[in-house]
Amino acid sequence: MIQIIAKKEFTELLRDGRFRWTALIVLTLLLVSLALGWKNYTTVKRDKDAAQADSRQTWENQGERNPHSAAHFGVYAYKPKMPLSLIDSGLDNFSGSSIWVEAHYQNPARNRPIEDATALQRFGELTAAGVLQLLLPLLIIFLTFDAFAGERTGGTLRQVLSLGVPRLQLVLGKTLGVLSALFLLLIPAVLIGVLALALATDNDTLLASLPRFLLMCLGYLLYFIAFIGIALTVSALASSVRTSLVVLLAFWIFSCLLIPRIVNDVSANAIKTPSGAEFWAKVKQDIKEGIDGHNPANTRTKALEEKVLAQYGVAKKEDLPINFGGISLQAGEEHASQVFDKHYGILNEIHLSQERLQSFFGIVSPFLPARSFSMAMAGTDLRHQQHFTDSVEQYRRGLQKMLNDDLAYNSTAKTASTYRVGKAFWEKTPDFEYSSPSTSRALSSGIFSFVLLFVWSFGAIGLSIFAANRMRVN
Amino acid sequence: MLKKIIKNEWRNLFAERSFFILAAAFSVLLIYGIVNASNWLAERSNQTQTLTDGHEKNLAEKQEKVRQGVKASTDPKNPQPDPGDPFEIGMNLHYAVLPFLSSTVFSIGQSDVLPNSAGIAISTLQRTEADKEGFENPLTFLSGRFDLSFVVVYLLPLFVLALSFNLLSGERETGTLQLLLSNPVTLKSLLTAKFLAQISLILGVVLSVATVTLLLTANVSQDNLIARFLLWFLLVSVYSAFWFSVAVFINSFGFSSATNAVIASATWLIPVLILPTLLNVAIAAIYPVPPRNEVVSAIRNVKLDMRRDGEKLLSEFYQDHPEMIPKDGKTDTKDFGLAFVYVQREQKKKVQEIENRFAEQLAKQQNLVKTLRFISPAIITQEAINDIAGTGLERYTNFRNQAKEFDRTWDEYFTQRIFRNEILTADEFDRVPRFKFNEEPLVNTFNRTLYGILFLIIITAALFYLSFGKLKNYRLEK
Repeated sequence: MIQIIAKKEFTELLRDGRFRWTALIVLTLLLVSLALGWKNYTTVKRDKDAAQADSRQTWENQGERNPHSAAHFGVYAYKPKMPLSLIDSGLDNFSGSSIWVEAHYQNPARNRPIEDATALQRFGELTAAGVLQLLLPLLIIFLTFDAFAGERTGGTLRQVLSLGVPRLQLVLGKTLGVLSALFLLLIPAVLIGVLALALATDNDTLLASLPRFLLMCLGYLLYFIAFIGIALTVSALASSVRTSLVVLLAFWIFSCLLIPRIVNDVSANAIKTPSGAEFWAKVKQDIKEGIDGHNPANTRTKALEEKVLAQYGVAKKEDLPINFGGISLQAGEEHASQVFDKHYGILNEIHLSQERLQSFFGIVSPFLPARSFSMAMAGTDLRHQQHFTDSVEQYRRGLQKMLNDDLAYNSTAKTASTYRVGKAFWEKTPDFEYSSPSTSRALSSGIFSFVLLFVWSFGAIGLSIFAANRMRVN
Repeated sequence: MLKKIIKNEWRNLFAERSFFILAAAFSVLLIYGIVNASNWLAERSNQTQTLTDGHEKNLAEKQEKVRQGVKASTDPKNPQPDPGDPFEIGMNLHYAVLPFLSSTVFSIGQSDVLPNSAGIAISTLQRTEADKEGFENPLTFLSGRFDLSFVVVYLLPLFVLALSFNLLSGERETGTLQLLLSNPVTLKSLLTAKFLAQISLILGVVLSVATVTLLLTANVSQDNLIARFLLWFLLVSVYSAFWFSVAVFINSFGFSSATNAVIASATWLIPVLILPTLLNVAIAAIYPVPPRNEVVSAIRNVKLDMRRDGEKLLSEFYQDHPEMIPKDGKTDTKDFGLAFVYVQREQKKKVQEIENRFAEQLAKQQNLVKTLRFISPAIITQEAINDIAGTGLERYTNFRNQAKEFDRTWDEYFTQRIFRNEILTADEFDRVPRFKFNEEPLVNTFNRTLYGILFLIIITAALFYLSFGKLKNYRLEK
């Protein structure tokens, strides 16, 4: 029975000019956005790879220099573009894309693409994700708002029900019917998505991205089912076709336009992000005075000096067979690392709490979990950004240690000012290589959104069954 | 007659509960948008004030020390520079700050992403300190802010369309259209009257709610706020009229109200959601912004060269500029401080060249957007509102240029004194350059906005004209 209803609904939709036209427009937009996403991805990726290689080359060819002078010169680490960002660019435009790796400082990621963009950027970017998150629900609304309300006005609802069709089957049949009509549009889009991915990346990356891609598709499927369920519920309860449409449009505006902006302000007001000046003031204070005011810098240096002198059994720094400067620099780095761990830890936690607070509003808007889950799978969400900044910091600490150790153990107090190393040494230093988090890690950060989507889709279908059981026939 | 129909239309609207619900909901959103943006503005203004105050305090402390006759101390345990040492002051990071206008409540615009302070110092190294910022959560930029411009650009059209999508079809479906037309009234004048009745109500709501909320939250006497408000209101009126003309056009085809509703919501989508986002991604793909990475690499190479050639450059400099040789006649090309200042100066010049080239390329792309904004009334309106609010690209570009200019003044002032080994006197502290942003005259904003407004008027008129032509074939029965 479900099959028959689904088939009827499906055929009816196909014959409907409304569906043909809107579906064609949405499909075109989806394809255009995929093509542009692909173009954008390849350009940005090429630029970034070139920049990373260039940074390395400059580093290796910096000539003969003191290792600490080189540490100040530093290198740049660029955030690689994630393959699935061609579908969902997520936070890519709003978060820093490169980090200056230098001595003494853990720098934040800088050069957000949005700073070089026009105000147009604030309207958003037409990515495949945008089409799926904003326009497809609207298409679903246009297709389903009269599913029950229309049949009631037309009088066919009474006939169908008089045949003894269980209402449960009626709802499931209609859901399947709409879903299969959507599949006509989604399947080619998915195939083209995979094709774009395959063209943009090599085989290994493609294979590694596939699980994320499939999970992303699953997330969107749940999102669409949620909207079908909601549309059927409203259509069953609404007194007229017009009311049904107005209520559904209002819900769309509320959940896809208003809520995302409102939660944005709510989270930013509830949990304050420190300004740059505040952040650095605290960091500098802790580096100078020691964390929480214990162990200030000069006491630390003194203790270190005594320790090293005792270790080598000499009375003065000048008599050491090594360069105390290098030891002291490394000790400074290690202390600063604790300070940075503390303050960046606080900052990252503030961002994550803002994100969590926003995600709770997913209870009133399916748009939010759909967006978060999609970004998590695309690797363009907050956690991926933090993973990148953390990796760069790990790299920075390793590089600093290597440079400081070289200065400490290969020079002495006398030779320190003239000590130089050259290309052979620079080539030995590690290059920054970023490996993105595994699918399972991405999934664990997106799990809350996934559960919410699950609840939304099953809840909405359940609700529509309930509504169908209570709906008036006339 | 026109007056009578307008009055009748008002009576009809007031009799409907749905009008009050719509108007109340829209007013709440308007108020929320203004209050939200003004909270944000207060918070940000405080942060920038702290920057300026900190710098003034720092200078005042040094000036006081000079007055008290504090000199440099060479005590190895606690070496202190001379408080009037130009090297110490000039090297310190100072900020040129762009003040927020109280009109920011119209639109937060780009002001949350574009830095409104620029680091000023002789050394480029110090300037990079100012670049170690950007701690905002990127998530907050993703959806954008709920400010007044969001309410105007996105939601006002919905309010307009919700009222007017069944302008004629509603009357026809209830059978009152024929009744109305049995009076000595043409369809054209009926439509005009309905349009006037509805738009006056909507603009009345916008005007009264916005005026009261602004009076309560903003400092009206500042920053030409009243003139800016009037310009803003003119823009909003034209934008509303455009959306009415869309509704009239849809109605002129003679579909049913339900069909009109679907068409109206789809029509809203195209200029507000689809065209801007499509244009955005298309421009990025076709005319990509020159990658920042290239600027970063170029600047690094300059720095590297400068380190190598520092000493040689300094001796050449003294040959070219004997007037800069310190008064005691001793020039030491190995003097680290002087070499450093000199190298920084040269380095800054080269870096500036690279940055200027980048800015030029960027400006080209942005000019393209300026031309292409005409494809969507929503883009025109958003850009114009940002301009009026002082949160658009124009004011920021202006600020960047002035900050650059100020950086040169600062540099010139201190390097001359450093090279001549002069120490600042207490009185001299009052003459240390201070940054003051020169606001562009409002008439420039007005001129820029005018193009957009005229364009909106033209398409509105065109849509009315087309609709009136179609009305000749309008069928009065269902």
